[in-house]
Amino acid sequence: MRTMLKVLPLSVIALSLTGCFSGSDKAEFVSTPVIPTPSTLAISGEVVKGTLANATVEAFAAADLDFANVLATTQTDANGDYTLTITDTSGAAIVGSFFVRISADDDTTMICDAAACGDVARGEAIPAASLTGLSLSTITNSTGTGTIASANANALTSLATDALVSAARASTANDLSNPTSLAEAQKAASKIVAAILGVDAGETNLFDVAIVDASDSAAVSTDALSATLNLINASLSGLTVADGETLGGAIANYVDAVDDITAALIADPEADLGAEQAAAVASINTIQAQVNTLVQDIASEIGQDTGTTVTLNPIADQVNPSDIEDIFNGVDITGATGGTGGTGGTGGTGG
Amino acid sequence: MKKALITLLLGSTCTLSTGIHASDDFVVDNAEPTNKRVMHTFSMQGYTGVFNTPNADVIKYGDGLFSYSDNFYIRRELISASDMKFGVGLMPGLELVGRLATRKWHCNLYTDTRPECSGPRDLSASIKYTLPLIPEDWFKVAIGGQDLGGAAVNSQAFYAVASKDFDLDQFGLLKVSAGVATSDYVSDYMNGAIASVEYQPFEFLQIATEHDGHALNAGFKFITPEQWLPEGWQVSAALQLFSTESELNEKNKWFSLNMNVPLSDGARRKTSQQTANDALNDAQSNNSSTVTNHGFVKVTTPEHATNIDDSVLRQSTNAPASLALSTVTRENIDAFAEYVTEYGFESVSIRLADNNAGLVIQFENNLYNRNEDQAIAVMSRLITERLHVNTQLQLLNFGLVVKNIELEYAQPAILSIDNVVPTAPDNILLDWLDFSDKKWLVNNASSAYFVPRITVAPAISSLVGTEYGSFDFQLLASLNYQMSLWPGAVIDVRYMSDTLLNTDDFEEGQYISNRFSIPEGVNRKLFHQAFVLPYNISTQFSFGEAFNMTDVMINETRFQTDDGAHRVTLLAGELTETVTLKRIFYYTQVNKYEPRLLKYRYRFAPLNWDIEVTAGEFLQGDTGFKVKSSHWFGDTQININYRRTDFKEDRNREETEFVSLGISIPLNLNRSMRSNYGFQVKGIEQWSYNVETVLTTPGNPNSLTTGFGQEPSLYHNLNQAYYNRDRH
Repeated sequence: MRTMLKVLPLSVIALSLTGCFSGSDKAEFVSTPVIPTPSTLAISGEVVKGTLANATVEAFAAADLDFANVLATTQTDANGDYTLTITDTSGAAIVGSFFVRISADDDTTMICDAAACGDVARGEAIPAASLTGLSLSTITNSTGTGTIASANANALTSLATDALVSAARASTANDLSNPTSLAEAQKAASKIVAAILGVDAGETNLFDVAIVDASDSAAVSTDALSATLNLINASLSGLTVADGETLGGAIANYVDAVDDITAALIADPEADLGAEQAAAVASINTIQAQVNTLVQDIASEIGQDTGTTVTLNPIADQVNPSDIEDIFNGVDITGATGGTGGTGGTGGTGG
Repeated sequence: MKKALITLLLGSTCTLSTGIHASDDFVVDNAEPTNKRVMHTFSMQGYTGVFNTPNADVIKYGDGLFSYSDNFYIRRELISASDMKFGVGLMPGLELVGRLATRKWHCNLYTDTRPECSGPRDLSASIKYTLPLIPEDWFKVAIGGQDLGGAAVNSQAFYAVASKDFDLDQFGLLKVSAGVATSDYVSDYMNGAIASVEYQPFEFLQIATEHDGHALNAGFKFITPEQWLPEGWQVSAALQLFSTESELNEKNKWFSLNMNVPLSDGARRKTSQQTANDALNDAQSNNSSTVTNHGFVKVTTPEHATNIDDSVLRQSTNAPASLALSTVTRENIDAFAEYVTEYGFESVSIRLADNNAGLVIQFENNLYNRNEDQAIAVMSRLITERLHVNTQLQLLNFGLVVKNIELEYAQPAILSIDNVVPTAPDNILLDWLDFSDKKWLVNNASSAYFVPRITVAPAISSLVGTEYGSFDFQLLASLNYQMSLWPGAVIDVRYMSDTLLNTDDFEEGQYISNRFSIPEGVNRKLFHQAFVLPYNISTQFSFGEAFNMTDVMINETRFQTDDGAHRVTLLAGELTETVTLKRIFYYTQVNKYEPRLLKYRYRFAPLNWDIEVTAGEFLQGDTGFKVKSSHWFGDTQININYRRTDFKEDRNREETEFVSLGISIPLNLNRSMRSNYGFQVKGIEQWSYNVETVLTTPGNPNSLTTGFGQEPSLYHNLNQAYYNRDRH
C-alpha cells in the first residue's frame, strides 16, 4: 500500500504532463532570460579577545573545513565590530552555517584586557607587531533571513570552533549545517572546552556567552560563571611571552594545544591522552596555572574599580587528562537498554 | 521429581540417538498405527494433549503445527491472552514447540501504564518425546517439559504421561491418559497426578475431560474431516466449556484453533543418482515395449512420473519428432542440445565419452531452483527418451562440474558419429580458458555466462516478544543481482529496497529502528571465484563488501566424503568495518576482523538430519562454538542452533549463550523463468528466518544482544551455490 502511495503521485504527474501537451500542437515556447536579483547575507559580530580593531574578517562555508574559499571579507572597526556580506548571484536565500575567522594583520591592535599585557598596561592597545599569529574564529547559522547579528568571536568561541571542525572531520554525521544540530554540536564542543579550561560550565553554550572587553570593569558580568569565562578569555592577553615569540603566537600555541587534545578525543574517545597527547597536555597545564593566576589578578583589578568583589567559579590549576576523557566516556547516548525476547533474522541468509 | 523427569527426557533422547547410530538399517516408521486411535490434537498449552494437560501423543514426524489459544496460564491462574504456538514433529516421537504468549500485542511494557499492559509477554520453548520400544497395542508413554529455562519462567512444567487407546467399534474411540507433573505454578495446576479422557464418537468430534492437578475441565474438540483438506492437513478447534476452578481463572470458557500441515512424508531423501535412476526407469517402463526391442525410443506420457513437473511431460509429448532411434547421429545430438536448451537448461555441452562408448553431457540448471535433483531427473528422462545412450551426466553450477550421474541402459542406442569435428564455445574468453583437449560436439550451448540473474526475496528484520511489542518488524525487498563470468567466477550485488511495511517501533528515529532496521541501498558487492579440486574438495574466494564491511576477503574450503555423510569446512576471512559511533560527537571507528572457523557436519541420512559443529574465532572476534541441528522435510529445513561465544578482550561482552529456532525454505516457483530473453528473474532458493534469544538463568534479563557468534557466511556459499543447499 505504501508503495502504491508512492507510485500514485508519479502516475498523476505523468498523466498531467501528458495532458499539458494534448490539444496544443501549435504551442510555441519563447524563453525570456530572467536575471535574478542576487541574495545577500549580512553577518555582524564583535571580536573581543581584548577588543580587536582593524583585523581581517573572513567568512567560509561550514563544509570548507580547511578554510580554503573565502566567501566574503572585511575589517573590524575600532570597537572590534564587523559586518560582512555574502552574496549569491543565483538569488536563492542563503542558508546554512558559516565559519568566521578573524586574523590579526599589519594594522591590527588589541586592547589589553588582562591586568597587564607584558609592557602594555590594562586598557591600552597592544600593537600589531605583538599580535602576529593571532587568529580567532566562530561559527554561525543562517536560516535565510539575510541577517546574522551575533556572530561574536573570542578565545572561547575559537577553542570551541576548532572542536567543531575536528568533529566534522571525524564524521560526516556531525552535521554543522542546520541550526538544530549545530546548537547541539556547539553545546558538546563547549563541554569539552570547559573541561580543558578546568571550569564546570554545565550545559552552557560558549557561543552564547556575552564576552566583553574586561578592561571595561563595569561591563563584566556579576554572574559567577559568566565572569569566570570572561576573565579566562581576558587572561590570555597576559600570558608570558617567550623570547622571540609574540603574544599572538603564544595564544595561538595554546589554542593549538587545546585543538590537539579535542581532535584526538573526538577521533577516538578511547584515546589515552596522558600517553598519546602528553606534549599538548603539558603545554596546556603550563598555561593553565598562569590562567588561574591571571584571572585572579584581573578580578582583583575589577573589584578595585567597581568596589565589588568579583565572584568566580573554581578553575582547576592543572587539567587532568582523565577528567577530559570522562566528558566523552560519560556521555553515551547509545546506552538505552533493550527489551527481552528474540531477534528475527533477515530473509536470505548471510551477507 | 523435576530433575528426575529432565534426566529421563535427556536420557531417552540420547537413547534414540544411540539407537540411530547403532544401526545403518534404521527405517523411519512414520505410518499411523493400524488400529484406530483418537485423533491427536494440540492442547492450549505447549504440548499435544487435551485442554491443559498432555497426553502421550506428539506432533507427527514431518508435520508442522500452528496453534492459537485465547488464554495463558501464569503462576496460578488462566488469564485472557493471545498464545501462539509453532511446533514441528522433528523426529519420530519428538515434538518441538516455540511459543509466544502476550496479553496485548501492541503495548510497550516500559511506557504503557494501562493495566492490560502489565504483561506477561513470554517467548518459550517446549519439548515432548514419546518413548519408543513400547508396542503400540499396549500403551504409549511420553515425557516432556514446557517453558524450558530462560530469563522469565512463566509456565514451566515437566511431566510424564501414559495413554491407552480403545476402539469401541460403533460407539467410537476412546483415549485414557494418566500421568504425573511438576511445575512452579502457585496452584496445584500441573503438580501431582493428572488424567484425561478423550472420547471420539465421530471423525469430526471429540468430547474430553481432564484433571489438570488443580481443577476438572471439560469441553469439545472439532476436527475437519480428512476429505475437506489436502492430504495430511488437519484443522481442529477446541472449546473448554467447564472448569471446577472459577475463582482464580479469569474465565471458564476458552478457545483454541490448531492447524497441522505436513512438511514431508519423512521418507529418506534419495541421492541424486537414485533420483536419476528412478527417472530413467520411469521413462523406460513407460516405453517398455519399444525399449526392449532395439533401443527404440518413443515418447509417451508416463502416468506415475515423479519429481518432474507436467511441463516437461507435455513438451516431451509435443516434441517435433517422436524419436525412434536405433542409432544416434551427430544430428540427433544437435537436435537434443537444441531441445534441452529451448527447454531452459543452459551451458549444455556434449562430447563422446573417453572410450567412445557413450556420451558425456554437461548442463547447467538455473530452472529448478528448489532442488537440483529435479533438474537431474528431468534431464535423465530427456536423455532416456531422446538419446538412450549410456551417458555420464554432469551437473554444472556456475560453470563447475558439481555432480556426476551415470545413466546406463541395458540396450543402449548405438552411437554413429564419424569424423568428430569439435566445436568451440561462442565465448572467446571461455575458449582461452579451455586447456583440455576434449572434443566437444556441442560446446556451451545457451551459455549461462554473462546472463544477468536477479533473485527477488523478502527481507525481514524483526523482534519477537520484547517489551516494545509482541512482534515488531520491518519488511523490505531484497534484489540480488548475480552474473556468472567464467567457471566459478560470479559477480554478486544485493540491493535492499526502502521499507515496504513496518510496525511503529520500526518508524524512523525509534530506538528499535535505530538499532535493528535495515537501511535502503546496496549492502553487498562481491566477486566470487570458486574452484572444484580433486578429492571432493572445493574452495571459494570472495572479495568486496558485505556485512556492512569493506575490504572483505573470505575463503571457504570444503571437503566431503563420497557418501556425503561427513563434511569439513574451513571458513576464514579478513574484513574491515568502518562504523560511526557517538559519544559526545559522532566519530568513526575502524575495526579489522580475522575470523577463522572450522566446521564439521555429520549427516544421518535415514532421518534427513544434519548436525554441524562450528568452532573458532567468529566474525567480530569472539571465540566459542556453535551446534546446529538441521532437519530436512522436503525442501524445508528446520534448524535448531545453540551457540556460546565470548569476547575475551571486552569485559562488557562476557560469555553468552544463545538458542534459536529457524526455518529455511525456497521462495520461488517450482520451475523458474527461462533465461532465453537474456536475463532471469527468480525467487530465492533458500530464504531463512530464525528467532533467537539469549539463554540466561531465571531472574537475569535476556537483553537483546547482537554481535555474538556471527559467521562470515555468504549467501553465495559453496553449499548454497554449488551443492544443492548441502544436499549433494
